[in-house]
Amino acid sequence: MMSYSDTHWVQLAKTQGSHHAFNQLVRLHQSALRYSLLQLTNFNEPLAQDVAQETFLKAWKNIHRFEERASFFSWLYRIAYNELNSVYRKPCEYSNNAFSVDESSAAVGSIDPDFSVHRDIARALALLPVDRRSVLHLHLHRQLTHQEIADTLDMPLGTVKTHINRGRKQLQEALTNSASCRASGGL
Amino acid sequence: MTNQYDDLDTLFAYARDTEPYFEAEQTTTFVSAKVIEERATRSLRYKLWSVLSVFIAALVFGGVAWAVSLPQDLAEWVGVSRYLDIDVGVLPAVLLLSLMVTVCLWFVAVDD
Repeated sequence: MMSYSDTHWVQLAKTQGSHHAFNQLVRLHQSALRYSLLQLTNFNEPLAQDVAQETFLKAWKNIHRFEERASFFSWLYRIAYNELNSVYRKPCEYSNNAFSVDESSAAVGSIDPDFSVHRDIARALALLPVDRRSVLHLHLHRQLTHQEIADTLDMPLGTVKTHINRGRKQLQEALTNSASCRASGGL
Repeated sequence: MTNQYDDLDTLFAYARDTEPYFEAEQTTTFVSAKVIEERATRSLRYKLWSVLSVFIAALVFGGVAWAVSLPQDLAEWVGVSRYLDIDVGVLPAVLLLSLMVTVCLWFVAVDD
Protein backbone atom coordinates (compact mmCIF):
# COMPACT_ATOMS: atom_id res chain seq x y z
CA MET A 1 0.00 0.00 0.00
CA MET A 2 2.91 2.31 0.77
CA SER A 3 4.68 3.53 -2.32
CA TYR A 4 8.45 3.33 -2.56
CA SER A 5 8.83 7.07 -2.61
CA ASP A 6 6.84 7.41 0.60
CA THR A 7 8.97 4.79 2.33
CA HIS A 8 12.14 6.39 1.16
CA TRP A 9 11.24 9.91 2.27
CA VAL A 10 9.71 8.72 5.52
CA GLN A 11 12.86 6.84 6.42
CA LEU A 12 15.02 9.86 5.67
CA ALA A 13 12.75 12.15 7.66
CA LYS A 14 12.65 9.72 10.59
CA THR A 15 16.27 8.74 10.82
CA GLN A 16 17.99 11.93 9.73
CA GLY A 17 15.35 14.54 10.51
CA SER A 18 15.69 15.62 6.91
CA HIS A 19 13.70 18.74 6.09
CA HIS A 20 14.14 18.01 2.40
CA ALA A 21 12.63 14.53 2.79
CA PHE A 22 9.68 15.88 4.71
CA ASN A 23 9.14 18.59 2.14
CA GLN A 24 8.93 15.85 -0.48
CA LEU A 25 6.25 14.13 1.57
CA VAL A 26 4.38 17.42 1.83
CA ARG A 27 4.62 17.85 -1.93
CA LEU A 28 3.36 14.33 -2.55
CA HIS A 29 0.36 14.49 -0.25
CA GLN A 30 -0.62 18.09 0.34
CA SER A 31 -3.04 18.35 -2.56
CA ALA A 32 -4.97 15.19 -1.69
CA LEU A 33 -5.12 16.13 1.97
CA ARG A 34 -6.27 19.66 1.21
CA TYR A 35 -8.95 18.33 -1.11
CA SER A 36 -10.12 15.86 1.56
CA LEU A 37 -10.29 18.65 4.10
CA LEU A 38 -12.20 20.87 1.71
CA GLN A 39 -14.71 18.07 1.32
CA LEU A 40 -14.97 17.62 5.08
CA THR A 41 -15.34 21.33 5.81
CA ASN A 42 -17.86 22.17 3.12
CA PHE A 43 -15.20 23.91 1.03
CA ASN A 44 -14.22 26.25 3.84
CA GLU A 45 -10.83 27.04 2.37
CA PRO A 46 -9.23 28.93 5.29
CA LEU A 47 -10.24 26.22 7.72
CA ALA A 48 -9.06 23.45 5.40
CA GLN A 49 -5.72 25.25 4.96
CA ASP A 50 -5.29 25.74 8.69
CA VAL A 51 -6.04 22.13 9.46
CA ALA A 52 -3.78 20.92 6.63
CA GLN A 53 -0.91 23.02 7.94
CA GLU A 54 -1.44 21.88 11.51
CA THR A 55 -1.57 18.32 10.25
CA PHE A 56 1.78 18.61 8.53
CA LEU A 57 3.29 20.36 11.53
CA LYS A 58 2.16 17.55 13.81
CA ALA A 59 3.33 14.97 11.30
CA TRP A 60 6.76 16.58 11.24
CA LYS A 61 7.00 16.67 15.02
CA ASN A 62 5.78 13.08 15.40
CA ILE A 63 7.30 11.45 12.35
CA HIS A 64 9.39 9.23 14.65
CA ARG A 65 6.13 7.72 15.94
CA PHE A 66 4.92 6.70 12.50
CA GLU A 67 5.15 2.92 12.50
CA GLU A 68 4.59 2.46 8.75
CA ARG A 69 1.92 -0.19 9.20
CA ALA A 70 -0.46 1.92 7.17
CA SER A 71 0.21 4.30 4.32
CA PHE A 72 1.68 7.70 5.10
CA PHE A 73 -1.47 9.31 3.73
CA SER A 74 -3.67 7.27 6.08
CA TRP A 75 -1.52 8.44 8.99
CA LEU A 76 -1.78 12.02 7.79
CA TYR A 77 -5.51 11.67 7.37
CA ARG A 78 -5.84 10.40 10.92
CA ILE A 79 -3.95 13.42 12.26
CA ALA A 80 -6.13 15.70 10.15
CA TYR A 81 -9.30 13.98 11.34
CA ASN A 82 -8.25 14.43 14.99
CA GLU A 83 -7.29 18.01 14.32
CA LEU A 84 -10.62 18.71 12.65
CA ASN A 85 -12.46 17.17 15.58
CA SER A 86 -10.55 19.33 18.02
CA VAL A 87 -11.40 22.41 15.95
CA TYR A 88 -15.07 21.50 15.99
CA ARG A 89 -14.96 21.07 19.76
CA LYS A 90 -14.00 24.73 20.16
CA PRO A 91 -17.41 26.41 20.15
CA CYS A 92 -16.12 29.93 19.70
CA GLU A 93 -13.88 29.24 16.74
CA TYR A 94 -15.84 27.03 14.40
CA SER A 95 -19.18 25.50 15.15
CA ASN A 96 -20.13 22.32 13.36
CA ASN A 97 -22.73 24.16 11.35
CA ALA A 98 -20.61 27.15 10.52
CA PHE A 99 -19.74 25.97 7.05
CA SER A 100 -22.62 27.11 4.97
CA VAL A 101 -21.07 27.91 1.66
CA ASP A 102 -21.33 31.46 0.54
CA GLU A 103 -20.33 31.36 -3.10
CA SER A 104 -19.38 35.00 -3.07
CA SER A 105 -17.26 34.88 0.07
CA ALA A 106 -13.50 35.06 0.19
CA ALA A 107 -13.51 31.66 1.86
CA VAL A 108 -14.00 29.96 -1.46
CA GLY A 109 -12.53 32.66 -3.63
CA SER A 110 -9.46 30.86 -4.87
CA ILE A 111 -11.19 27.58 -5.71
CA ASP A 112 -12.16 27.14 -9.30
CA PRO A 113 -15.88 27.96 -9.50
CA ASP A 114 -16.45 25.09 -11.95
CA PHE A 115 -16.19 22.50 -9.21
CA SER A 116 -19.92 22.46 -8.67
CA VAL A 117 -20.08 18.68 -8.25
CA HIS A 118 -17.35 18.77 -5.62
CA ARG A 119 -19.14 21.57 -3.84
CA ASP A 120 -22.44 19.73 -3.95
CA ILE A 121 -20.82 16.65 -2.42
CA ALA A 122 -19.20 18.75 0.29
CA ARG A 123 -22.46 20.53 1.00
CA ALA A 124 -24.28 17.20 1.35
CA LEU A 125 -21.50 15.77 3.53
CA ALA A 126 -21.70 18.81 5.79
CA LEU A 127 -25.17 17.71 6.83
CA LEU A 128 -23.65 14.64 8.47
CA PRO A 129 -21.63 14.41 11.68
CA VAL A 130 -17.89 14.74 11.20
CA ASP A 131 -17.07 11.10 11.89
CA ARG A 132 -19.67 9.91 9.39
CA ARG A 133 -18.58 12.29 6.67
CA SER A 134 -14.96 11.25 7.21
CA VAL A 135 -15.87 7.59 6.87
CA LEU A 136 -17.90 8.25 3.74
CA HIS A 137 -15.15 10.32 2.18
CA LEU A 138 -12.59 7.60 2.78
CA HIS A 139 -14.99 4.94 1.51
CA LEU A 140 -16.50 6.62 -1.51
CA HIS A 141 -13.75 8.97 -2.64
CA ARG A 142 -10.51 7.40 -1.42
CA GLN A 143 -11.92 3.88 -1.87
CA LEU A 144 -10.43 2.49 1.33
CA THR A 145 -11.74 -0.82 2.61
CA HIS A 146 -13.81 -0.96 5.77
CA GLN A 147 -10.85 -2.30 7.72
CA GLU A 148 -8.52 0.38 6.39
CA ILE A 149 -11.02 3.05 7.41
CA ALA A 150 -11.33 1.50 10.86
CA ASP A 151 -7.54 1.52 11.22
CA THR A 152 -7.16 5.03 9.87
CA LEU A 153 -9.79 6.59 12.08
CA ASP A 154 -9.19 4.27 15.04
CA MET A 155 -12.82 3.27 14.94
CA PRO A 156 -14.44 -0.14 15.52
CA LEU A 157 -15.18 -2.01 12.29
CA GLY A 158 -18.87 -2.28 13.17
CA THR A 159 -19.11 1.48 13.63
CA VAL A 160 -17.50 2.04 10.25
CA LYS A 161 -20.03 -0.26 8.58
CA THR A 162 -22.90 1.48 10.34
CA HIS A 163 -21.63 4.89 9.24
CA ILE A 164 -21.34 3.68 5.66
CA ASN A 165 -24.78 2.07 5.53
CA ARG A 166 -26.61 4.95 7.15
CA GLY A 167 -24.40 7.62 5.67
CA ARG A 168 -24.91 6.47 2.10
CA LYS A 169 -28.66 6.84 2.48
CA GLN A 170 -28.38 10.23 4.12
CA LEU A 171 -25.91 11.45 1.54
CA GLN A 172 -28.03 10.18 -1.34
CA GLU A 173 -31.06 11.94 0.09
CA ALA A 174 -29.17 15.20 0.58
CA LEU A 175 -27.75 15.08 -2.94
CA THR A 176 -31.11 14.31 -4.48
CA ASN A 177 -32.66 17.23 -2.61
CA SER A 178 -29.78 19.45 -3.70
CA ALA A 179 -30.25 18.40 -7.34
CA SER A 180 -34.00 18.94 -7.17
CA CYS A 181 -33.49 22.32 -5.59
CA ARG A 182 -31.00 23.27 -8.27
CA ALA A 183 -33.31 22.05 -11.04
CA SER A 184 -36.12 24.19 -9.68
CA GLY A 185 -33.78 27.16 -9.38
CA GLY A 186 -33.99 27.24 -5.61
CA LEU A 187 -30.29 27.10 -4.86
CA MET B 1 -26.52 16.12 -13.65
CA THR B 2 -29.56 14.99 -11.67
CA ASN B 3 -29.07 11.45 -13.00
CA GLN B 4 -25.45 11.54 -11.95
CA TYR B 5 -26.54 12.40 -8.42
CA ASP B 6 -28.78 9.34 -8.29
CA ASP B 7 -25.84 6.96 -8.07
CA LEU B 8 -23.26 7.68 -5.39
CA ASP B 9 -20.60 5.41 -6.85
CA THR B 10 -20.83 7.05 -10.27
CA LEU B 11 -20.83 10.48 -8.71
CA PHE B 12 -17.75 9.81 -6.62
CA ALA B 13 -15.99 8.17 -9.55
CA TYR B 14 -16.53 11.41 -11.42
CA ALA B 15 -15.32 13.40 -8.41
CA ARG B 16 -12.17 11.26 -8.23
CA ASP B 17 -11.48 11.76 -11.93
CA THR B 18 -11.89 15.51 -11.64
CA GLU B 19 -10.25 16.02 -8.25
CA PRO B 20 -8.38 19.32 -8.43
CA TYR B 21 -4.65 19.47 -7.86
CA PHE B 22 -3.44 22.22 -5.56
CA GLU B 23 0.00 23.62 -6.12
CA ALA B 24 2.49 22.67 -3.45
CA GLU B 25 4.80 25.67 -3.47
CA GLN B 26 2.89 27.90 -1.11
CA THR B 27 2.02 25.17 1.37
CA THR B 28 5.49 23.68 1.43
CA THR B 29 7.15 27.00 2.03
CA PHE B 30 4.60 27.98 4.60
CA VAL B 31 4.83 24.71 6.51
CA SER B 32 8.61 24.82 6.66
CA ALA B 33 8.63 28.44 7.70
CA LYS B 34 5.92 27.86 10.25
CA VAL B 35 7.75 24.93 11.82
CA ILE B 36 10.80 27.08 12.35
CA GLU B 37 8.79 30.06 13.52
CA GLU B 38 6.74 28.00 15.94
CA ARG B 39 9.80 26.30 17.37
CA ALA B 40 11.50 29.62 17.98
CA THR B 41 8.40 31.19 19.50
CA ARG B 42 7.73 28.22 21.73
CA SER B 43 11.30 28.03 22.88
CA LEU B 44 11.28 31.69 23.84
CA ARG B 45 7.88 31.39 25.50
CA TYR B 46 9.03 28.40 27.56
CA LYS B 47 12.06 30.32 28.76
CA LEU B 48 10.01 33.37 29.69
CA TRP B 49 7.41 31.33 31.53
CA SER B 50 10.07 29.30 33.31
CA VAL B 51 11.82 32.43 34.57
CA LEU B 52 8.50 33.99 35.57
CA SER B 53 7.38 30.81 37.35
CA VAL B 54 10.55 30.58 39.39
CA PHE B 55 10.40 34.28 40.15
CA ILE B 56 6.80 34.11 41.41
CA ALA B 57 7.48 30.97 43.41
CA ALA B 58 10.55 32.58 44.98
CA LEU B 59 8.56 35.74 45.69
CA VAL B 60 5.75 33.87 47.43
CA PHE B 61 8.02 31.58 49.40
CA GLY B 62 10.56 34.26 50.24
CA GLY B 63 7.89 36.76 51.20
CA VAL B 64 6.20 34.42 53.63
CA ALA B 65 9.52 33.17 55.03
CA TRP B 66 10.60 36.77 55.58
CA ALA B 67 7.30 37.62 57.24
CA VAL B 68 7.38 34.75 59.73
CA SER B 69 11.05 35.27 60.53
CA LEU B 70 10.61 38.84 61.67
CA PRO B 71 10.81 39.55 65.37
CA GLN B 72 7.34 39.73 66.84
CA ASP B 73 7.47 43.44 67.59
CA LEU B 74 8.73 44.33 64.16
CA ALA B 75 6.22 41.98 62.55
CA GLU B 76 3.42 43.64 64.40
CA TRP B 77 4.80 47.02 63.47
CA VAL B 78 4.99 46.04 59.80
CA GLY B 79 1.61 44.41 60.18
CA VAL B 80 2.34 41.13 58.48
CA SER B 81 2.03 38.61 61.28
CA ARG B 82 -1.19 40.13 62.55
CA TYR B 83 -2.84 39.75 59.18
CA LEU B 84 -1.18 36.59 58.01
CA ASP B 85 -1.25 34.91 61.42
CA ILE B 86 1.24 32.28 60.39
CA ASP B 87 4.24 30.63 61.96
CA VAL B 88 7.20 28.62 60.75
CA GLY B 89 5.12 25.43 60.85
CA VAL B 90 3.18 26.45 57.77
CA LEU B 91 6.25 26.95 55.63
CA PRO B 92 6.06 23.47 54.05
CA ALA B 93 2.49 24.24 53.02
CA VAL B 94 3.60 27.54 51.56
CA LEU B 95 6.39 25.81 49.74
CA LEU B 96 3.89 23.31 48.36
CA LEU B 97 1.61 26.13 47.30
CA SER B 98 4.50 27.84 45.55
CA LEU B 99 5.38 24.65 43.75
CA MET B 100 1.76 24.23 42.68
CA VAL B 101 1.72 27.77 41.34
CA THR B 102 4.90 27.01 39.41
CA VAL B 103 3.49 23.79 37.99
CA CYS B 104 0.25 25.55 37.01
CA LEU B 105 2.17 28.30 35.26
CA TRP B 106 4.26 25.71 33.47
CA PHE B 107 1.13 23.93 32.27
CA VAL B 108 -0.25 27.23 31.05
CA ALA B 109 2.97 27.77 29.12
CA VAL B 110 2.86 24.29 27.62
CA ASP B 111 -0.81 24.53 26.72
CA ASP B 112 -0.46 28.00 25.25
